[in-house]
Amino acid sequence: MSGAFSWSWAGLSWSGAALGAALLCGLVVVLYLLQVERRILPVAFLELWKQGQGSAQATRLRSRVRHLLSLLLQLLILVLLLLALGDFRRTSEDPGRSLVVLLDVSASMAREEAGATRLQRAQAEVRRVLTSLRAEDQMLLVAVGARPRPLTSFTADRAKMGAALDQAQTLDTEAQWEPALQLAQSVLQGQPEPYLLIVSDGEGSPGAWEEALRGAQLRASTPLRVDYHDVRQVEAAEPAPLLLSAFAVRDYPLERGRFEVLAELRHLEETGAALGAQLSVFSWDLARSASKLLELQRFTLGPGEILPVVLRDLAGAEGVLEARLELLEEGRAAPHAPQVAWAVLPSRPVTRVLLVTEGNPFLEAALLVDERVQFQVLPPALYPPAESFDVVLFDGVFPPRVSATGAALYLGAPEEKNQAHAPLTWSRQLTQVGFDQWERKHPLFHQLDPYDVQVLQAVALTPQPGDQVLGKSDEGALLVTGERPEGRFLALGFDLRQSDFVLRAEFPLFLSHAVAFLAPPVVTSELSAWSTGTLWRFPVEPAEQKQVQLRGPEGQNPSSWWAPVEAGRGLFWGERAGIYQVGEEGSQQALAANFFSLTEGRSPVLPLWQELQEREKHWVVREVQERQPWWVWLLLAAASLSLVEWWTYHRRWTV
Amino acid sequence: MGFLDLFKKRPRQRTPAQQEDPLLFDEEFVRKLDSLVLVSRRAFSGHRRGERRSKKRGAGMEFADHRPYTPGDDIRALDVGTYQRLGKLLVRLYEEEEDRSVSFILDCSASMGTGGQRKFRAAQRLTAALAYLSLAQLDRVSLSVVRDSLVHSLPALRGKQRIFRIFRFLQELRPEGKTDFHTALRTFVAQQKRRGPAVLVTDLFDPQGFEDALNLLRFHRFEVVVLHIWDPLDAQPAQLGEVRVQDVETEATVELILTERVAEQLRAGLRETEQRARQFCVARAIPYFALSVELSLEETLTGILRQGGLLR
Repeated sequence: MSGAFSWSWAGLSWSGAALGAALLCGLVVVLYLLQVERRILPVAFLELWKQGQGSAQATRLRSRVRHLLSLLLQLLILVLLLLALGDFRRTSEDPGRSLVVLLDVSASMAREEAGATRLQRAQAEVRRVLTSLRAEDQMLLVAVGARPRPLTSFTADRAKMGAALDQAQTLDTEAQWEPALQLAQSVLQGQPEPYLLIVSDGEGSPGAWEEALRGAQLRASTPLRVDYHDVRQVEAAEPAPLLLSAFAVRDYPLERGRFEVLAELRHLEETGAALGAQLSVFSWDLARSASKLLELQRFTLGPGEILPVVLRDLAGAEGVLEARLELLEEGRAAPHAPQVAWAVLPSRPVTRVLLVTEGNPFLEAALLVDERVQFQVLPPALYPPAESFDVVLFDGVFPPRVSATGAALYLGAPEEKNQAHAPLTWSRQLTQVGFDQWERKHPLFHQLDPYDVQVLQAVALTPQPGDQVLGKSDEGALLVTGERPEGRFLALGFDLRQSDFVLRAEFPLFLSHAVAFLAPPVVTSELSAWSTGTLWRFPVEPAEQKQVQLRGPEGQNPSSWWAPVEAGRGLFWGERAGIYQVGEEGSQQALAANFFSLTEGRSPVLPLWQELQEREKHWVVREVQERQPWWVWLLLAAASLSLVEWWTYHRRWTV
Repeated sequence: MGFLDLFKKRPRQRTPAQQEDPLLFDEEFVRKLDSLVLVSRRAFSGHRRGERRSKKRGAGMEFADHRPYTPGDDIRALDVGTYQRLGKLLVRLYEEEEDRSVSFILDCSASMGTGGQRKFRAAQRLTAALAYLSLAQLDRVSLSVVRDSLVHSLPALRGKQRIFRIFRFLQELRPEGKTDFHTALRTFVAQQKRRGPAVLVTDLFDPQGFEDALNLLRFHRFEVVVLHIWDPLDAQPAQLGEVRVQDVETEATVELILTERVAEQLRAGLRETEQRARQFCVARAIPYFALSVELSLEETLTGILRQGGLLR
């Protein structure tokens, strides 16, 4: 910094001030001319007033001086006001300093210590730096999360920077320092007097930060001066060394509608005492913004232990699951904030089944058991219906099949006149048979044993090439599946009423498997939850739209964005964990995002940070106290002069 | 004006006329006048019988003088006793009681309207009051309005009931125009055949001077009474500072710097004007009354006029 100083404007620009001065001075002069124009005083008898004319002659010269003095006073007041507005100040003649402030907004900055969050302390520090900026200094404020995000342009506008600083919020991401340092380096390259100030708690993902920082210093045209300000409170209590490091839901491909929940708990310390933990799982109904507790389990984790928890058969779960992990101390919840994670349950679509029958209460009762089956009974004479279905069950009838009714399950043998419409032929009649062989690994027989099924009368099915026999007696095939032009079919070679199958507990399960086999549910490969600090590519319906609305996180001061859609997937850089709603109101889908980090909040302060912390600071904030708020004094001077002018006017010293 | 005074809201200054605008002549006004009677120090001639004695000898009750009998005289007036004592035919003469003609000359120039027309209103009310008293004593009352000429004249009236015509006449007047007493009164004396009291109600602000005009009345044997209406505001500037003073009549202007000292000079000047008029009138036996507009009508009539002997 050179020692030479000059005067500059920090408020109004020179051109603005000059224009204002010209206009206002003109206005003052016009007002002055109007003021010095003598007022006309009508009197009754002028001869009487002529007696005062002598004094007018005597004071004419003094009057001119007073006029001039009055105008000069008013112009002086105006000039002082303009100087105050322009924030006229003394500045150095050097080109100013260039400062990049990297403000850590990672998740650990939300931790509250001694009555204030780390981010609030960081904001206070940056605000202090802001006030020490000189008129010619420029600054760039960058929020550092999973990726660096400039909050302002590289500017000298302190008001704009102050407003951006106030709006900074913590994110549910780690602080990635390497890209942030690269950004700072590229910004400061070629700038005069480059400074880099890092305001952080020292936690987060280091990456190749050291190389980035040293590279920035090497590539800078002038020596880059780096300061580090640590916002941690050393005496603050450490968070509980317990972490919910994973939470996800997966469904069973072979078991329609079933899913299991995976959670992973970690004891983060390698030594020390065991920790008691309580895991609660809630089901969230987004439409009603209400949750219900589904599962609650308690665990004890030894030092360094990683405990996977698998929860199955969570009855009543739908929509979104929320997991809360709380530390237990002496059997009670410890006063630590619970860790929360979310997961969206896989969708369970309803299968529409058409039951073509003259009336079969066994079938209807069995179909009613499966809540994901929605069936409709139709007399054979009315087939085919106008609607479309996923599966059709032909109960002893064989009408000409149409593809609109979906895959077919044939039960029993056809009469001779209808055999032409059957997918198979029948070789012979069978009596008193059962399933002697069956495809045990076929999903149709999952958790099902048909060996004890007794059949009074059946027909032996004759499969065609490409068909698969799934079950047969020693005398012939009883259960065959295959593909026909109208779709997949499954044929059972006996009337249900000619066997005890319908009386067995396995029958509803068999029927459910059959429906699932004929109309297999779409197994989604979508993630149950996305990770913050990554690009989310979530499916969008309909896929043709150009952008999709995303709103969330629910219950945490939600925001709304329009995410672009590419190839049927919305693209969004997620930085906050929680539950989001995708799509227009009325057809919204849930989306969950979690933040799991083994380093954020737990990692030790980076060594270089410590080194910088101990070093003498380059950026001197001391100037705050030394800077003269000239505009205040100018304003006071203008007010004083105005008082003088008012006082002298009322004593007829000025006019 | 000071710089800060640009932002100061000035209260609107109300003229006295705006502050108080009662009826010029109401019932209360008339009732007060009933208790006052105007008397004259001298008797004037007149055509009708009135309550004033006249030098004109005639059919009155009170003996005045003798004169030699000439043919054609009423022989009932012959003094038989004198003829028996002296042997001369003398006719007895009696003083005949006649009415009196009182002329009111009201200055209606623009100078009377300054200061919120306080002077003009006072002059109107005073003129009306005196006219009423004259009418009540069976005098003939005429009213003339002067500016730089004789602009209006109300013919001679008799009887109290005519006072309302005088009220109407006075109410329709507006102070405007220049002042030239000499020119106006020259017309007045030419038109006014009856001599008697000529009451001049004025502020005496005449650039040509009022002296010649008063002398003109005197020379034409009018009994001149000067009621000088004056207003302290005429010499009191409403604001100090640099002003251009403009005469409301002539519109001539003079630039002045008004200070407290100048204001004091003006007040002294106004007093000097009054003194000068008083000395002029006293030297010529003209009754002169300086009447401030700040006095009420009762004070004016019962105090000042009584002291001047115009009221009994």
